[in-house]
Amino acid sequence: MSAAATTHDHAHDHAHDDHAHGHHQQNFVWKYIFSTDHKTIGMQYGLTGLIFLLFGFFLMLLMRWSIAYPGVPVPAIETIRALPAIGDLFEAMFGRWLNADGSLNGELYNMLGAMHGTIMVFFGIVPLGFAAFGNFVMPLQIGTIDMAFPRLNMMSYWFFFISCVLMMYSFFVGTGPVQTGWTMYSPLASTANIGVTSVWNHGHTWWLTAMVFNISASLLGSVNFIATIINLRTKGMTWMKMPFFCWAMFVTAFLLLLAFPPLEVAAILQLSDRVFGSSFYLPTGLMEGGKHLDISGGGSPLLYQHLFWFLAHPEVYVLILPAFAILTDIIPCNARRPLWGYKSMVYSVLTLGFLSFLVWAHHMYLTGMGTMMSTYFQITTVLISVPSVILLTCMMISLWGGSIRFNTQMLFASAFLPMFGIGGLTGLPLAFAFIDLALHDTYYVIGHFHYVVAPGTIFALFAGVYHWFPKITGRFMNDKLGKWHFWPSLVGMNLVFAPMFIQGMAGFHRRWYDGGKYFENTSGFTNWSTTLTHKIGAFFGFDIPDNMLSLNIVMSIGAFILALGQVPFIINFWFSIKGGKKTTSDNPWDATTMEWATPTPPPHGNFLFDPVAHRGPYEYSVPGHGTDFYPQWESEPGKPETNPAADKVLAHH
Amino acid sequence: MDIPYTVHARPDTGLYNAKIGIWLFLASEVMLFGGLFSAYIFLRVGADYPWPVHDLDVTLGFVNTVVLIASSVTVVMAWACLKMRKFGWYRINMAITVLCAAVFMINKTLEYKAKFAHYAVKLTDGTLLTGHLPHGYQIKFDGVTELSLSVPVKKSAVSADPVGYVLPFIEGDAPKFKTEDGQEITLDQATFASLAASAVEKAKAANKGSASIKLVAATPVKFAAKPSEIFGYTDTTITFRDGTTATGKLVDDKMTLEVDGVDARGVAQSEKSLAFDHRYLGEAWQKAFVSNRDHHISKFEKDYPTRDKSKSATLQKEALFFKLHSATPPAEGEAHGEKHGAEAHAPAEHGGGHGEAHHPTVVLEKKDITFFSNFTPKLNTYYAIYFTLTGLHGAHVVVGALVLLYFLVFDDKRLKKDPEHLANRVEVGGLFWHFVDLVWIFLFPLLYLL
Repeated sequence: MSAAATTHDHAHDHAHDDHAHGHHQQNFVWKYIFSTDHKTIGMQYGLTGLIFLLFGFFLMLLMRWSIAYPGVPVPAIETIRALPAIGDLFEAMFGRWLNADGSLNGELYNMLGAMHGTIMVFFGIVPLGFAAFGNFVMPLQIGTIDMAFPRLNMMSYWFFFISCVLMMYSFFVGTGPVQTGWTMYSPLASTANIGVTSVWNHGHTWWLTAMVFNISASLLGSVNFIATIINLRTKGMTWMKMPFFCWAMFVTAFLLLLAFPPLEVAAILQLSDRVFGSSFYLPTGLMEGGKHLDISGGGSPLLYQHLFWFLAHPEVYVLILPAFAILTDIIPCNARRPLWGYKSMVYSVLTLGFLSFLVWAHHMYLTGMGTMMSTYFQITTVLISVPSVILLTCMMISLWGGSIRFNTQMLFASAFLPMFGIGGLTGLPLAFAFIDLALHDTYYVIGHFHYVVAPGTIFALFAGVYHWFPKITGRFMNDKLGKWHFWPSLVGMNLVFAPMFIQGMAGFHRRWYDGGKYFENTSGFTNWSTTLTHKIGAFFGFDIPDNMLSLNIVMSIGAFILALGQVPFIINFWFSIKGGKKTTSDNPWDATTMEWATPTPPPHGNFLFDPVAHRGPYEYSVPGHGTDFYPQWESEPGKPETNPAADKVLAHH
Repeated sequence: MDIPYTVHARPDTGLYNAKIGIWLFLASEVMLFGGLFSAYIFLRVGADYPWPVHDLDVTLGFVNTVVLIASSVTVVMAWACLKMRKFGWYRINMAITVLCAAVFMINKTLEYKAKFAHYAVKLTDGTLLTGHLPHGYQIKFDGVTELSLSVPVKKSAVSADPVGYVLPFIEGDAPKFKTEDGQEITLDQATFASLAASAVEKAKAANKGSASIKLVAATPVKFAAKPSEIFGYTDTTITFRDGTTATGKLVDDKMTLEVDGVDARGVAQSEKSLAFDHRYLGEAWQKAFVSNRDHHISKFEKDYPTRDKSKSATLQKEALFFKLHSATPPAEGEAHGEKHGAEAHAPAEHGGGHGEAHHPTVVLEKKDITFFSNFTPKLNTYYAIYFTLTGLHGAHVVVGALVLLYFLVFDDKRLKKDPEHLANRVEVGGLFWHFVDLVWIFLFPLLYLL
């Protein structure tokens, strides 16, 4: 209510703007496309990220079809092909690889698998979690007018955009996109399709080029984030008064800054292997198709794995920390309780960031490293679970004694906690080399990390969309549709990923495009879950086999439910922009952090007054206080801040 | 609305924004080069061939080191002069910095150029011959009359493109070709496109995955191509990179090499190296090799009686990597022959230190060659990491110099209006420049000395 009082003077702000710069109303292109405003860039990242999440999900649906029904034509394939424009696009991207009868083959499956991983990780979750929410929310929360380097910020998005275009282009080149998994292990990735007429005909070259741009974008973004948090915090915003959101983004930015360059090295060396014929990753005497390759040899495939995982393990935390960031805003706000253990969470996240650089080789137990090495990596891996558990536990305890408001974002947030818990706990056994040797590359691993990132991170991202949507647009998203989004998503996610643990422990390998149909000794196995599936199927009149293959069908049904569950979200998202219920206050959730002190939507320059952080970020239900929240920016209870946003910055010149 | 702390430092952090930015950027650069240095260590420790040591020209590297350090000094002076508002001296110092960068890059170019022209050939027994290819190296085919091309119906990575991948290797003018329908055509982009289109139509009608086209040349054709430009060949066929096959007769795939070094470290009995076969260097060179080898071994035994001969990489190199300095082998006991021993230390490219380089020429048969390359990343992992490290470093030098040049030439307005801001920019650019210098300080010993 206090914030509402500050919105009165839009015109005043514009007057300031014009006065200071003397430029006129920006046209559409400069305002929304080549914008240097952190909020616009955040929205650009957000929309791109959401679109890629959907696209990556479609790739997965095709894969799941092949796994559950190997050799059966993709449903409605002829209809899809007959569609105008979309049909041609489908044909050029996927259709040309299908078998004559319209079913999937291993080649296409490998492309889908590699691109699903790449797109979800580098083009979906990181842009949405880190770049979009970070860009939009973080400068507002620390009370500044923009990022430290607004033009670099724009450059970051456009580098990312170029990398998106290049990555999508790889679907259309001669060999199609890469087929070597999102990890691009050499020597396979170095030599696959080496005989193509030109390197530009091969998806791999485009993959590597796209990644170089993607990495540059992340680099610019992370430099910007860190510099902004260090130097542009507003008055009173000391480190320990900073919302945990900003802390998590701060650590994430460091991970990106320091972990991505080794991946860039890995990509450069692999590109050199392909283009200049060097042998960084190619051992002596390597043969392909019974022929010695025309290479010098002397390199090491392990070198690639080390460089890759040195990035890719911290990358896991780049995926999860933005989720924690979002939840630490949503949970206290909707439980009306302070965040429990703020300080220990801050120290945990710093420890987590540091330790994440010391665990990478636990992805490589199977490479035959010595026991000393593997002991070291087992210890660090088990160690890193301690700060992760502290973070999760603090958020759970924050619920204790709260009067919880179960709006859509809180539903997603509260589902995150157990889902991430399952993902984390199933990861513990994998930390031990002797178990990992058996479970490596099985569906168990797939289940483990998907529980962390899918019902984990992606649920948190959805929660974030519902939470900040009113700030961005001035309108709420529909709560009923939100619930129609949440419940099928929750059911679908669990149907997809829970059976993976069972299959994985039975020995199902992650790269079987036929879902294990031709591996009788593995797939003929029966247990309670397969019998249950068989009986449920029989009840509805379907003949589902009573063996491990039945779980493939369960998972594919789960994926289908998940797909249906996204329909309400898409409708909700687009229709609420113009048709949602209007917010009546600048602080509709009665939150305490500074982004809610801005007008809605926040104008260029953000604040109408000079924001000062008077207290910690989570002052909910303060004893003796009139309302159940005490915002950071209020100098006295309920007093509107009118101290105008003077040209404080001009004083520096 | 301006971003705070772009010029003056924030009191509690003591930093202006760009300074934080550049230090963060440098941190990530440290990780980039750190990754590459780790790769260097990994490759060197795991190398299964004698790691080339002292292969590069130390003098040139040393000159470059001095030049870069000098430029690091002048960039600081430029910044200091700007802070003291001595604009003239600022300009001079900045100009010297950029000039140093140019000298560095010229040296680097010379170094690269020499390597691209120098070859190494690995023989089947593990001997490595180094030298030059006076006439290049080409596979020659004669009497080719038939071309068979294949065009896939769906878009694919390998599809016939004779104009791009076949015609360039025809010696002389391209003849006319006859199609299967008896039509006579000149092969160019347009005629091939229509030919391919009709063939694809036919293949589609017949429900085949790819269309094949046969062309018969009016007169027999000669082909000459570098092995890297084509996909493969046998005695009677040559396959181009676009999948087109030509049938004819192989006339020549021998390699003429001016040998300037015989590296027998990969051979079990070095004196029996294939290089000394009577077809190649022959007995006289073998004797010179053996006397050079024994000379070094006995010298080593005398100087270091307690050390293990097989464990000294330096001895292995001196004794078994034999440099050839003349067209004919030196006569036994000749003073000239003794001189060889001392000169075997010299890096390969200095082999021609006597003025005009005279080297014996051998004609190597294809069956004896397993691998050859010029001194590029392809040659071995040492040169691969050498080119990657120095290439990336060179790119940093160029970018850094361009930024500094921009400050010097195009930032005059800021110089007059807001010299403090320009000083900040120069400081940030200078920090980057120091980093570039620092990387070289690591590169020089790693690649040239160790």
